[in-house]
Amino acid sequence: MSATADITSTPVGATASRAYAGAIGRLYDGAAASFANPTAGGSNQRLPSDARRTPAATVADPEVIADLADAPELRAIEELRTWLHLSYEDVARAAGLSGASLLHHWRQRYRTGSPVRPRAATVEQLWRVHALVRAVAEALEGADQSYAVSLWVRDADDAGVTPLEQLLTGRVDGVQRRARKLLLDSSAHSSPPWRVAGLEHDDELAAVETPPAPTYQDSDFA
Amino acid sequence: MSDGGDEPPAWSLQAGIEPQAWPQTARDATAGLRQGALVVSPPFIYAASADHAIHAVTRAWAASPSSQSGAVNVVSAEGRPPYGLIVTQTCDLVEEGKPKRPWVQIAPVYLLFANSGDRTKIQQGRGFDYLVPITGLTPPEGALWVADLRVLIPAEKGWLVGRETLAAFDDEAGYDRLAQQLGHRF
Repeated sequence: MSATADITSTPVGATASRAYAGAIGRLYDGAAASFANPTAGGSNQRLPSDARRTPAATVADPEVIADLADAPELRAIEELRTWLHLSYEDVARAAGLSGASLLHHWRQRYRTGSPVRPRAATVEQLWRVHALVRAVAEALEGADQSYAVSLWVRDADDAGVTPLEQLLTGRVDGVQRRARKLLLDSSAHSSPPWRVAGLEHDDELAAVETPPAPTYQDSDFA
Repeated sequence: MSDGGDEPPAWSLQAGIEPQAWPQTARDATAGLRQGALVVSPPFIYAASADHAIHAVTRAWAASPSSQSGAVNVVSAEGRPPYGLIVTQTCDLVEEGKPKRPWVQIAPVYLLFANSGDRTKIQQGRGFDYLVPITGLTPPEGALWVADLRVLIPAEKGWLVGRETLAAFDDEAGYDRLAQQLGHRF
């Protein structure tokens, strides 16, 4: 291995669970672009100088999410980015965290094999928002899809306020109230009123009085 | 290798497709149809064994002279379902361009008398995944119009010429449900 190898290739104190940190480093680099100050420059040395990140950087890479299975807070952040289509800065605001720099710090620690153990109080709102948005996503079309929940949080109420605005200003209670009908009233679900589920048992029709069945004669058949 | 004298011919479905031989009437008959169309008085035909008859219709057929044929073919209108639901996908049904699918599949549609709980189950898709509620027809009290996916009858598209058809569902959700239910079942 080269003496000048990237630190992400040789995680400090690497453990089995962190052994692939180097491999996902490249994915981090892509996602990390949305941390960068557009005027700062040089934040991502692997990008050619004429490369430009598009707003799509606010959409999480599913591979990044999959590789964060043992870093639940970071995974939750990436899932919120997917569902809400937000930048890291805005996800941090919605989650009640101090800012994108804190997320960057966690990611740096994870990348270098150091434990990421935020205080419970620090991530309390993150998990509350994550549970709420996930529940809405699942009620609308399934947690693996983000289109409906992304629209739902941007749908203004009569007062012109969107759930997203409430999330970004820490008013999680308000979002929870708006989601209550969707989550708790089964008749309000947008999912179709019928479901085709794999049957665990074969139902039998209860016997009822029915009109007589036709009686067949030879002439009924050809 | 055979000398070409006594070898039986290889049966092929493909060899008989012959798109140029299709009557235009048969092509026109499907032009305005879609998956989920109802056709009045569909055929009710299936292969069976008179010695091992299962369904009541098969048992009645087994006792008739027609059982020699090995195929149950109910010809009386009263002995057949009043409607059939075309379950063939619309693209295969209409076939833009050179046609290559001569047949459509038709599920029998009939009035199912059931208690309120079972009717609700069927309407909501909880159980009875082989039954599709037909919302375009108005049932009498205590019954539900259903298409039964347990048997699909093939009909050559020419059979559709001049047949009376109507919509099986009163909204797009019904067609979506049919497509998903078929996808789930087959």
